[in-house]
This record gives sequence, C-alpha cells and structure tokens, in this order.
Amino acid sequence: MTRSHASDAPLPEGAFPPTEAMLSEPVPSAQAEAQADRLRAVWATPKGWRYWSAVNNSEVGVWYALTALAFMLCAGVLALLMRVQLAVPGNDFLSADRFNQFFTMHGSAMMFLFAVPMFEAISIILLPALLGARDLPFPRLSAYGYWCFLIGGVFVMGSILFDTAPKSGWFMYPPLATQDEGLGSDIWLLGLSFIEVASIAAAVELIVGVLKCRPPGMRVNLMPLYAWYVLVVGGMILFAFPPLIAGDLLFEMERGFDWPFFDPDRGGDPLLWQHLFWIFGHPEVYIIFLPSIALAAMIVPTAARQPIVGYSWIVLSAVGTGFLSFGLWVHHMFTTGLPALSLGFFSAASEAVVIPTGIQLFAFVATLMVGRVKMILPMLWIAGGLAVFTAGGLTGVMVAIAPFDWQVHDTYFIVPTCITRSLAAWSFRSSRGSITSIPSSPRRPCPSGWGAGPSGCCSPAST
Amino acid sequence: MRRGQRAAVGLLILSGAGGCHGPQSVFSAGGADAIELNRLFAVMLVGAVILWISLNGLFFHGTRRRTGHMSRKLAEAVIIGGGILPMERAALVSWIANAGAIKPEAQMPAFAHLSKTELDRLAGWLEALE
Repeated sequence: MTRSHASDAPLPEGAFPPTEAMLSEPVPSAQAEAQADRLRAVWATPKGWRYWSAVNNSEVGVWYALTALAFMLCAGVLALLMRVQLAVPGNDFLSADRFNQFFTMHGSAMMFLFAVPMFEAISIILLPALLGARDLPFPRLSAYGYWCFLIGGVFVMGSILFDTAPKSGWFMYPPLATQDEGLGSDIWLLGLSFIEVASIAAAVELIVGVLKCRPPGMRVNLMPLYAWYVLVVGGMILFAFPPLIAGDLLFEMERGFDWPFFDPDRGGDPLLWQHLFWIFGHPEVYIIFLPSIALAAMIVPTAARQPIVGYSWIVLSAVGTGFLSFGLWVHHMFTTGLPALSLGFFSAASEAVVIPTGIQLFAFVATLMVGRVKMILPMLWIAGGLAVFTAGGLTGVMVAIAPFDWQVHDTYFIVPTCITRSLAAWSFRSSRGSITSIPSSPRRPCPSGWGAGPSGCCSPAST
Repeated sequence: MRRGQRAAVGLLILSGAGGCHGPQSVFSAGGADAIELNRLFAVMLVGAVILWISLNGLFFHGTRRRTGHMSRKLAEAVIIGGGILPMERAALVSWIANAGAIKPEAQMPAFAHLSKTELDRLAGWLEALE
C-alpha cells in the first residue's frame, strides 16, 4: 500500500542533508495539503467490507479487546451456571458430564481466551501511544494473531453448544484426559494451540515494539514502566508457551495415533505432562498479573502527582519476578511424590517471589506517601485490587509451604488463592478503564482518530 | 447499634464459634502430627492478617489521611521493609550523621562534622545501652 503511494510522489532532488535555508523555505500550501492527504490515505481505516482487512493497532487492538471480553462473559455465564448447581445439595440442574464441561471451559476460557489476550489487546492499543509511535512494528502480525485467536477461541468455546466440550479439567491431566471418550480433549488441544500461536505472535510484536519503536531520546532506562512490563511479559510468553505447544502435540499424538508419551504401562510418564503444563502454567500467573500491575504503575504516579518512587527498583523486581516465575512450577505438583529435595527447592523459590512483588507494592505506596494524592476513580480500583491481591497473595505464601500444601491441596482453600489473584489482576486492569490521562502519553490522537487521546483508545478495552 | 442488638450479635458469633469443634474443624486437631500443622496454619494466618492490615493500612494512610508528608529519600527506604531501619551499626551511624535525611521532621541536628571513628564509637555506645 505504501509502495504504490511512494511511486506517485515526485522523486527527491537537491542537496542532502537539507541546509537551514532549504528547511526554512515554506512549503506551498497545495503541496503540503497533498502530502497530508497521502499520509491520511495510508493510515485511513478501510471502508465497508474491507474494514476487516485493517491491520492498524487501533482496529486490531479494539477487536482483540472486545473478543476477549465476549469470551469472558461466556466464561462468566458458565461460572454462574456452576454456582446454581452448587447452591443446594443434591441439585439436578446440570448433569455431571455437563458440569465437567462447564468447569473445564470456564477455566480454559478465562486463562487462554481472556486473561492473556486481554493483556495483548490493551498493549496493542496502548503501547504505540505510550512510545509516540503510529503503530507497532509488524501490523500484519498483530492482525494474524487476532484472527488466529478468534478461530481457535470460537472452535473451543463453540464446542459447548454441541455438547462436545472438553471435560477433563482446564489442566488436562493424563490419564483422565488421555483416556477420555469423545472429541472434547482433542478440541482443547488443537483449538488452544491456535491461541498459543496467537500469543507468541503478539509477544514478538510487543517485544520488538518496545525495543524498536521508541522515539528518539527515550532510552530503555527512561521509558514508561508499562513498556518495561510489556517487555518482561513478552519475554515470558516467548519462553512459557512453547513447552505447552510441545505438550499439546505430544498429547494429541497419544490420543490420535496411540503414541505412549504419558502412558506408564508402555514406558511413558504422566508426570511429564504436568511438568510441561506447569512450566507454562506458573509463568502464566505472572503473565496475567504483571500487565495489570503495570497499569497500576502508570496510574499511581498520576494520582499522586509525583514521578514514581524507585523506578529502577520496580524494573528490577519486574524482571526478577519474570525470571523467578520459571523456577516455581513444581509447587503445583507438591502432592505428586517428588523427592523432598525438589520440594524444598521449589518451596523456597515460591517464597522468594514475595520479595520482588513486595518491592513493587511498597514502591506504589511510597509514591502515594510522597505525592499529594488526588483520589481519582481508578484509585478506587487500585485500592480494591491491592486489598484483594494481598489477601490472595498471602494465601499463596501459605500454600508454598509443602506440608501445609499437602493438607489443603484440591480443597476450597486453593480456589480463592487462584481466583482472588485473577480478580485482583482484573481490578488493576479495570482501573485503566476510567482514567483520563497518564504521564508521558502523547497528547495527539491515535492515527485513526479513535477518540482524542489514549483515554479514548483504551476505554473500550477495559470496560 | 443498641445494647440488645450488640448482645445478640455477640451471642451469634459465640454460638458460631461453638460450631468450630468437630471432625471437620480446623481448630481441633486430630492427633500429634496434626497439631504441628495446626500451629503452622495459625502462625501463618496471624502473620498474613498482620501483613494485610499493615500494607492496606499504609495505602489508606497515604491516600486518605496524610498525603505529601514524606521526602523522596525516605520514600525510597519504604520500598524495602516498609521503611523500618534495622537496629545495626550502619543505620545508627547514618542517623547520627544526618537525621534529617532519613526523617525530614526530625529536630535533631546533623553531626556530619564528626569523624568516622567518632560516629562509630557513638553508635557502639548506643548499641551497648539496655
């Protein structure tokens, strides 16, 4: 598209670089107008049916956010139906099979179709604005990721309408899932592979965006904290998702072609799946949480009307959290009978992650104590998010102790630990929805004119 | 709330606590090994509640009660350990040398003119006090 316009333009002539005299010479108004028109035409949103061929971040980001929101609402309805079933003893509202389908789909949809895509959506919308760029470096890659995500998501979520949804739990443990009758588990494995590819595409896009699309003079040690978090989370996605894709392929080969990767009778090992799943699954917790706290890191200094206290501390602890999160996955497997040495190591690493997390939270509190806080609406979300997150996080610290974990494993103690942390991440993210401006974001509107400034860009994202 | 209502709520809570005894209760441990775990849980629970109240209380204090009362330098200390200075030689030395840098409202004058050994001996004397 750009190339055809470039060929219409007159060939450059004269001295290069231009002299002061050349630069001060006024451009004829007709030529300036024509230039502006060409620029607008390049960045214009396609009209009519061609709208869906748009690749600009302001369109793709909004589609991404709205699709993720729609999947979240579906998953929310499933949760409501499950709670109806559990409201009274001996209820026959849902059959056991359907309950398993809803349970599996709620977890899978919230993790794969909402939490990670929503991070990608918000980052795709916000990042160019924060970096003063017109778009991300590979617009077609974002569009590719979105369509991949939509296809995979509809495939997995749609299976519930045909009563063939996956029903072996959102973590698909063998042998339950390998011996599961019907197509459910295959739909999970194949459909989610699409979404994993989409996540990796978005991660590549965002990492390169942070590293290459900064304006002149914005060095990495000066860029907005949000960009730092995006960089860390992008790196985490890049390392966390490939093991899961590999695991999915092995699993599908076992189910489809009877290759015994996870079958202990024929030399396989069911624990292999748990390792592959949780080396993805634990970083996933921080892949969800860090982007949310990143938004808090932008809102807190705005509300406090002071630059953030301890910028480098926050950056270091974000990187530290990202790094540590890859050394904790076994705390999801404390009850599988692993050697005591591994339990001790992973228990200690799980406790250690409190340190960088605590530093980030204390840095926010310190910023608030330095500044003259204006209680803007997003601060209420931050307050709620902090209260919920510290509760969820502290129970997480409790279950990181292996002997205690043995007692509460598979009980309702674990459910709130997981849910409150997700909820906290969500409320930090919602705080973004109601904010008016953040420091260092450009005042000029986004390329396609999605409202006058970043607030207009992101309000659809985090409704 | 009227006195009668208060008494009723109190009784309700007490009767609820009575239900905490039994085979599924976390309060009554079923054996020697369980007592250990029970104690672990109690310690962690109390610690978690204290931490939760302190962090959220600090947030509430900073946003609603007293805003803008802290220097950036002190705020940076808050990042590690909530701003509590450890009771050790180095912290005492820097406190004596310039108290204002750590706590801006402090009335104590700076003793930066003292030599390093003098500061060290002063800190040592302070440490020796009961």
